[in-house]
Amino acid sequence: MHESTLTVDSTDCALWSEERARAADATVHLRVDGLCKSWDKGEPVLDKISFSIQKGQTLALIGHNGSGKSTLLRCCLRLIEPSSGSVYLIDREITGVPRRRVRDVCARVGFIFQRHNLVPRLSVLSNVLHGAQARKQGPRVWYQSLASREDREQAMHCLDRVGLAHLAARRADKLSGGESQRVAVARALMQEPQMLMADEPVASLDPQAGEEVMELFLSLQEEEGLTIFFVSHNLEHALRYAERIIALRSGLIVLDTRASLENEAGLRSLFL
Amino acid sequence: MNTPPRFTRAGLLWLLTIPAVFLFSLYAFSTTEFYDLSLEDIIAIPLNSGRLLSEMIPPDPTILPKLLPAIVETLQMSLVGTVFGVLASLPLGILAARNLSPHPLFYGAARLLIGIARTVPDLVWAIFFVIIVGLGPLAGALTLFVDTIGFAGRFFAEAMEEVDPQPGEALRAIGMGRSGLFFTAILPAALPSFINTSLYSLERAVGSSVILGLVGAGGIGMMLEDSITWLNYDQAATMVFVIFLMLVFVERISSAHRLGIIDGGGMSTLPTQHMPKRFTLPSPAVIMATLVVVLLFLYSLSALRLHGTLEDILLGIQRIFVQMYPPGMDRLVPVSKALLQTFSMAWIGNLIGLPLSLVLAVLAARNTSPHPLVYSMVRAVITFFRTTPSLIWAIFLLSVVGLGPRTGAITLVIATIGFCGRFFAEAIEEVHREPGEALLSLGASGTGIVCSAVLPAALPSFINTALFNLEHTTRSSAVLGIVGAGGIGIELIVSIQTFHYDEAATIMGLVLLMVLAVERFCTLVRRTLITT
Repeated sequence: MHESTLTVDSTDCALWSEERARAADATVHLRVDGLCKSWDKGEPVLDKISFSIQKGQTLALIGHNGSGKSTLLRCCLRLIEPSSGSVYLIDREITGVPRRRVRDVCARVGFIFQRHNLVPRLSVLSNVLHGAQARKQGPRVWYQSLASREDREQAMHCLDRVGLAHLAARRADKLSGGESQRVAVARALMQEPQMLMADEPVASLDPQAGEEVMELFLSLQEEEGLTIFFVSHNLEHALRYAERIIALRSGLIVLDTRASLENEAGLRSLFL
Repeated sequence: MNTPPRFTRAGLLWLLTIPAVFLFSLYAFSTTEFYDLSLEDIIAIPLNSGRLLSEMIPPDPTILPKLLPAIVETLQMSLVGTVFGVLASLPLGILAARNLSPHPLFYGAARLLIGIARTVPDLVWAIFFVIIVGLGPLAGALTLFVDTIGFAGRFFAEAMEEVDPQPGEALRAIGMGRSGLFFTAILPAALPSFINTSLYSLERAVGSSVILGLVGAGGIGMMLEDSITWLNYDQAATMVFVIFLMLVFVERISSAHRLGIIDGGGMSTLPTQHMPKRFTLPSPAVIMATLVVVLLFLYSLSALRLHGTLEDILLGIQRIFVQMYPPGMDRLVPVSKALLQTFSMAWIGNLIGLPLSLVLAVLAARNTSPHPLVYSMVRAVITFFRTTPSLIWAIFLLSVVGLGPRTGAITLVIATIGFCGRFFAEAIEEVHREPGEALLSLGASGTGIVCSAVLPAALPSFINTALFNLEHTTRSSAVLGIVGAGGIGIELIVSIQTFHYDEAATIMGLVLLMVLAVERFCTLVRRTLITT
């Protein structure tokens, strides 16, 4: 089993490096170098991870439960502090400096969580408006009732993009799972991001709602040229919506390939 | 694409309420004499505080041996009062729970009884019991018995009303009777809340028992009052410190017990593959603690002795109640004014205390505090404010701020910070961390995260706590007058001590009405603001 994986891996890496050479001038949006993470000096959860994502690329990260996917994603924004290694995000290295100094870089990356993470008692519009905290500070971006007209209109526009403008006044805890996740995407759009990261964004949704959210990602990538980096358990999604797939096992990258070269059976073998 | 309005209808209601609240607050400031503060008064405050502190420090430790019996007596009173109070609250609570009461008449009667027990301030009960059974700890224990019924009865009833009705419906569908339903569906679900309430009752009782001595109902309060009256502030400081330690000790014991019973031991889930045992033993710590409490209780019982015969007591009760009727109406106008002043004190206490509590709570919540050192320091201040009883604060503040309702209002600011600071901080700690994490990921500032994700999520708890505090401070404000800190308390005490029971009846009736009105108001606000 391992053998076949490695074969795919090495062939693909060759192809990939060719392409990388051709696109040498393309901007890199995320570069991770020798990233390690271990909890309380135990076994490493991530072991010398290195990879990069080009601007406008869609990358899917797959792997077992507990293989370190979510930790890796969070380390890329320093929501979890890496033990060692460096992370270069958009235009700057974000490791090794105080967190407050990298706030403006993180602000340009939208992060979609497995559970939408909306503030439950606030309206949908207020939740979307929170995205503007990436650029502004103060009470005017805390609650929709205090917001400027421009911000309110922009938030409505973002909601319209995800097809939920009619729910703007509803309380966030009264939404269905799919609606909540789309509001979370609208909040990320309000950041005016250059990149979207998503941690199993469809894991808590039914198949139909899951498809809708993934289609939304695809359209954002196509229309706005956003770089998209998502974690998924759904191999079909990884193949259909990503251009490139990275697989993690026990904290190591065991596959880095173009999605068009893979099929579901091949990927599934990684999980056995 | 219709942008929703900035304010919903509830928001508009708020906008209308704010001017009314503002106007009443202006009035409250005037009636509590805040506008009369001259520059000299303000300058005198730090000077007086300095003088008081210099007299208190160093505390006089020679009084410690004499304190020990008084502390033991205080704890005995509390334990006996709480145990009997909790036992009596159970049947009363059942009668006062809408879903269990056998008849609306029982329901109404039980609610009224609990309401009276709760609304008449503990110090007033103590005065009555001192008149009936004489000076000493028995009067204190009886006061705490009634006080516990007022507190635990209400919360027991509410806990039983809040039990999820569905399991009960399922059992009723298979023909289970009322008592079966109670023991199989309602009691197990409400038990954790019962235990919490009972333990908190004990904490409360120890807190109140400290001050009952002020009117001769036993315990450490009597000695404290003596030392302050004779200006022995160094001795008073020792006592306040000992009281603080005692209250913190009881609080720690009770919270350890709470965790032991509710989270561990007896109620753990049972293995599913094997036949479960008939009984699961609670952990040894819980058994030991329970044994100790039972032994202490039995020992405490032996310490309470009745002076005089039962006949004397009945005569005493009869005398009071006969003389209370008809209530005296001669001084209705001045008494009503004093009542309004009393509520104003509570209002100012909340108006100033609540925003301060919120700021302190953010600093004292593990998940929002900027630094562990800040966390520990603010926690310590809040604990100190909470555990030292209001009347003791009032007594000390009198020598700093002077006689009058201003002192009462400032005392209630401290009481509010002590109570709300703790429960606001707990509410903040219980907020789910995910929305905050989402805002952190997009680069929001710390203030932004606290204000737009943490505080809105904790808002229902804040409102509940604040309203409960308003009820609580309204009740406390009625007795602060006893030490000269303004409000109706002084009128009440004087009328009882000069045997004008008819006037006392009027005052108590009015206090009862005020507290019930505030409670009704709070229920309404709670219902309007906290929609699920």
